[in-house]
Amino acid sequence: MSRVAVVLARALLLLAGLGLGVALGGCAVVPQNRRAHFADPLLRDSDDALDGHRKRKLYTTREAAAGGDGKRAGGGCSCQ
Amino acid sequence: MAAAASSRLLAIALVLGTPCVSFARDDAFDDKAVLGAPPAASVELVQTRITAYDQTGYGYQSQAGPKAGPGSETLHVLQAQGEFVMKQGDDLTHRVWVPVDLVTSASADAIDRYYAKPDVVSRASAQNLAAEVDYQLGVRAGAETTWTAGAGMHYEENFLSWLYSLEYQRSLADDNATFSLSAQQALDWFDSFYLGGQREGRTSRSTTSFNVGLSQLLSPSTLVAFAYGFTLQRGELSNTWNSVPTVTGERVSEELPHVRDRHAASVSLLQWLPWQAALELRYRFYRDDWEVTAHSVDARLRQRLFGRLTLGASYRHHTQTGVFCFTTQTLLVSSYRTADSDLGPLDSDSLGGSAEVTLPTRRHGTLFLTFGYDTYFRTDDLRVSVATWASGLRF
Repeated sequence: MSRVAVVLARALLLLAGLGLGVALGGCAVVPQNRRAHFADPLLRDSDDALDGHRKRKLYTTREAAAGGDGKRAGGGCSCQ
Repeated sequence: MAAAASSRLLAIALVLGTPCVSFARDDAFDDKAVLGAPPAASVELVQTRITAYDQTGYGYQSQAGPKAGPGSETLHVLQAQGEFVMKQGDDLTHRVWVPVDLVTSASADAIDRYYAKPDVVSRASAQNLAAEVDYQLGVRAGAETTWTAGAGMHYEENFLSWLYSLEYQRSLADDNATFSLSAQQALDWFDSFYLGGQREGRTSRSTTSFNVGLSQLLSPSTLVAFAYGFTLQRGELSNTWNSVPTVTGERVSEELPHVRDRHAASVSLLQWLPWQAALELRYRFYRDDWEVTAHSVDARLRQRLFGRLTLGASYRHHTQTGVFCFTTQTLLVSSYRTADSDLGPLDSDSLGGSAEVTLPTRRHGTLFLTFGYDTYFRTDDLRVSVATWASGLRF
């Protein structure tokens, strides 16, 4: 088994464990009336799409290690 | 008598009618009854962002220098982005995103330095325009489930891409956790050309990514998120104009495998701080079958001041090993070879700062103005300065 396959198997195992933990329903720790901070722009705007794009562009076109952020890892322009 | 009978009837009607009234009241107090019917369409966000990249440095893949290298990697990019998000009723969200890059590149423009005038990327240093249009449609398929489909097209000189994506997102445990599964596909169709820039013909590349993510509230002020991405790339994975110096002082074309499988996993923590601030920490691990192993750590702090001003500071460190065929002086017998400095072993650091002002308006949502500056520097002396400016309205 190649090292990449081992890494893949470990990552899938980790995610399967996390998914199982969530599916068991033991993670409802914060009631709705105590989530005010997560509606605050300080936390909500941390995923501004245009800011995220320009940062990804800076890193993915100058390093050999894109991915792991829910986005495409390569392709789509001649600089990748 | 008549009055007494009427009172009795009224009492009976009230007793019998109470369950009906209660039932009707349950129905009457749904979201639509309280808030009114949702508008047919409403704009959620309109914003533009202008970013300027100024890069200096030297890499052995560039022909903008001595034949034995390294050559200049000087690059200037002016990037404009526009984003428009609209909600249609309760269940549909439309997003249109248009990035446009204006690029000048010493490396791409230098391919005719020792050879005949190239057919392609011939005006790279003058101005090469890259434009893209992306559209996403989000559909709420239930109280806890959202599907998002996307399609886009990218165009630049002698390069065309088609982009597709599909994402499934589900809220779990009374919205304490979110699970997402997504797939992205990019098909690139572009000119392949010889070392001197003459057109060889068309070639293609496919990039398929699968991502899975999970976020979980740990407390009223803490969120943790995990993500894993697997990417398969097939086809011509070189840009075909990179070159590699040889031991005899000549240059030959870069040759890369036509298959690459990439894995990346990350964990991030988002923490509200009691003095009107937010902290975001992230670690990412990367490994692929070209023998690159990488680690990246990010930290970002945002602080609100005087209610309307938000200051931000960020730091990122990245370290990677080089691809198995990286060299700055190749033997001609080598089957695979690259001198691309981006694919070599390196450490990089990035420091950034930003300021945002928000101004609520009476009828048109909140106006925001953002300015940011980042500096990126690598152990191989490549440096990039980035200035960015955004403005828009959030409704």
